[in-house]
Amino acid sequence: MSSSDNNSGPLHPIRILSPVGIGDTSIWISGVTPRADVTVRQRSNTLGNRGAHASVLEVPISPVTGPVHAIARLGGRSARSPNVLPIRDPGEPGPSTPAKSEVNYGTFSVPVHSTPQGDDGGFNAPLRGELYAPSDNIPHRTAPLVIMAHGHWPFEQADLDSHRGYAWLGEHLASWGFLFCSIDLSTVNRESRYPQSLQQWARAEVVMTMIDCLLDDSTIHPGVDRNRIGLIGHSMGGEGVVLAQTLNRQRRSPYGIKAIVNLAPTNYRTEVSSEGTSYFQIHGSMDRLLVSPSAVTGSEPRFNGFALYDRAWRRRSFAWIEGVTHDGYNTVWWPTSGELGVVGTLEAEEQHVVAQSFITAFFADEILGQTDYRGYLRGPGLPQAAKQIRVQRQHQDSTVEITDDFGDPNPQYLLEPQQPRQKDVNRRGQPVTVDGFGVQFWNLVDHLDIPTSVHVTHGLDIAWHTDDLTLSTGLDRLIAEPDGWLCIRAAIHYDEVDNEPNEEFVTAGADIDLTIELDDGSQRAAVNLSAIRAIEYPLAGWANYSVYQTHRLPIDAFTAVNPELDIRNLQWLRLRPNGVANSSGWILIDDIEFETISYTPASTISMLRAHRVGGGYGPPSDFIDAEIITQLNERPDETFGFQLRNDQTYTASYAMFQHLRSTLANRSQIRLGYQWSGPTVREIVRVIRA
Amino acid sequence: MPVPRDEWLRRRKAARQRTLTPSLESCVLTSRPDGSYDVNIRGTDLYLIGAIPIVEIGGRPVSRVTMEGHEFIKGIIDDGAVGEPVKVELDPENPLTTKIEQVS
Repeated sequence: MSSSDNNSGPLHPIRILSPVGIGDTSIWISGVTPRADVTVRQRSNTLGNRGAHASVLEVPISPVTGPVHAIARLGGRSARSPNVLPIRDPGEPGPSTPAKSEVNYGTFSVPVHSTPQGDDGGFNAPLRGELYAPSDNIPHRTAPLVIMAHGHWPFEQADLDSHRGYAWLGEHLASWGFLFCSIDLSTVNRESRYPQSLQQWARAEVVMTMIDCLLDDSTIHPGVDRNRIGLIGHSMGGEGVVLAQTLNRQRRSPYGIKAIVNLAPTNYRTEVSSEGTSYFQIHGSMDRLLVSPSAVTGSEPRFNGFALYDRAWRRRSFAWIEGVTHDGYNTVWWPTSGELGVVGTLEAEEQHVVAQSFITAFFADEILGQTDYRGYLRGPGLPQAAKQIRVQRQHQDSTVEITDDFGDPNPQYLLEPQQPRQKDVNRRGQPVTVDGFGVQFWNLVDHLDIPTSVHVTHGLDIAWHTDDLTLSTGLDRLIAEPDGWLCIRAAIHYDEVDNEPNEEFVTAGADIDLTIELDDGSQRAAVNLSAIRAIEYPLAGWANYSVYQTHRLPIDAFTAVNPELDIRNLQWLRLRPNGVANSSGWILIDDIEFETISYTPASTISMLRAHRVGGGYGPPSDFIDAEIITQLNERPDETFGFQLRNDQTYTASYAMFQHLRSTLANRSQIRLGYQWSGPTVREIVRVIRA
Repeated sequence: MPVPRDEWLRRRKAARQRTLTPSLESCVLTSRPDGSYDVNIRGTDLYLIGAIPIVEIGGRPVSRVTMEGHEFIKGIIDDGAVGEPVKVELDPENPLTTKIEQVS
């Protein structure tokens, strides 16, 4: 392995990992040559500095108030990052003043949906809700809409006001420019009759009909943007909003539901999955639905809301937060909740600020297009409100090269289950080995067979007793991007013996650090997970569960360690315990992937068409909202497209369109860089002459 | 960040302290104009550990189950007789039982 500080060329380029929030007192920097001195500056003022102990590191600084950049220096050489403009913390109120009103559109007859448990619907439900609107500083005629669907509350009188329990969120999102409508589902709750039917389709029908009504309501100012809609569901409302998106995709002209948030969802309907939109979920370790493991991990996991994340299409994100409760989201529920006053729970107001920070960041990214905010979902940065509590995150993007998913089907990517499942062959058809004296076992495992796991997936279950262990997985000339990420889902395997933590492999409370090595066949580079975050011990809560965290390492952290590493030709990924501090361990691993752009092979074009805004392509279940549509001879079963609209992307998009036209006219070849949108439709993000 | 072992065990123990001792005292059925019965269950510390309370009488589900405070559970059932078993599931791992005391 070579080290870049021995070279005489320029120092490896560095970058500040977004987001940088106004008032932040630390900044993450990647691509740093080890042993360099790193200084963070705001114009000519030094905010902080640190010696680089790793190629990706957090630098403590004075609070940020303006654009910042970083400089790395080593042996007379230096590298300067681009300037980064700080953004408003998502927990802070936005610039608009929220205005509250009531909406009431009468009643409607809820259509009947047959379910295995009996019929949903078939009764009249009111169409009313509490509306929070941005009342000033409106730059556009329409505003994005957020619908809030509350859950089931068994106290009948109080349930009449369940929808009034989210004012904290409505006011906050309205200040950020969203129209927020919390809808009344108390009638649906009264019709929920276990075990016959829980009316999840009925909740979805009310959500969709309320969107129809709000769009038709000319008295609402600003009006509703039908192409920028977000849904939030709490508890049983969580399954309801996911089914609302299912109904939406069945419409001839679907709304642009860009994002779904689930707060502590139930899992009564295991066939429910979020598709065709981005997904974010918050779950808390002090959620009363998690008290009984038999209802979370058993054969009837009706409270295993975690499973909705595992089933959701990407992009998907998850925040698992210590102390967050089930009822604390709703201020009407909270005074009579059994969670109130329990040791270890957050105060409801604390929970609200943390939740609104993540939700606002998610919607700012997915609905407003402010992509810097995605950093709060994927890490390593955190909103201010979440910095003092334990948060374990998952984030899985759609632009990935999957190295191994341990054979699970993936309908979004048209991946069938691996048959037969093999622990020693990965999804790229390459070998997987685990070697070393320390290995106790390494097994392919179905998480349904793990009493403490909340996941619906397969993975590797690995234990070791000395640190002599190496897991190797073949990459077969994988192409990574310099600004991409290596992502691994991992968790400490939590186990109990006689109702106490099993500490045979892992001491209670201890983290596990791994060294991750990339190898191009001749050059290698290694980075420790702990440079950002080690695999954390499970959160203490009502019950203790193995919950995956996504560990993400920037690719330029590897090339900073060894600039000779060819990331366009990666052959192996290796994983080892990091030294004697991790001389024993027991972990679960899933979804080893590289976040990068997927590319087609070089191909001629078989079809190219352009049409007006709004036409799109494909049936509702496999739809792309795009104006430029093309197909390739080398990929005849897929359709690619992108939007050509009069916005900030117009110049680049028009250049891509011209490139496709000339390729078609010349019968030449191109490669398309793309993201997955649906089973056969892809969004083009790059056009390359082959 | 790692948590010291004793601190993690302390948090776990604190979170698992459940001082509630839910119990059922009685179940009374009263007839409704449509021939079905209102179910009136009285108890103490009736806190919900789940999404919806599940009540069964003689294995038959009680519909429209609601709670009033943490002492009363109400619902509707088509029929019932004195002495029939009543099962209340507020916590999947700790179902509560009683019997119908009176039908009127």
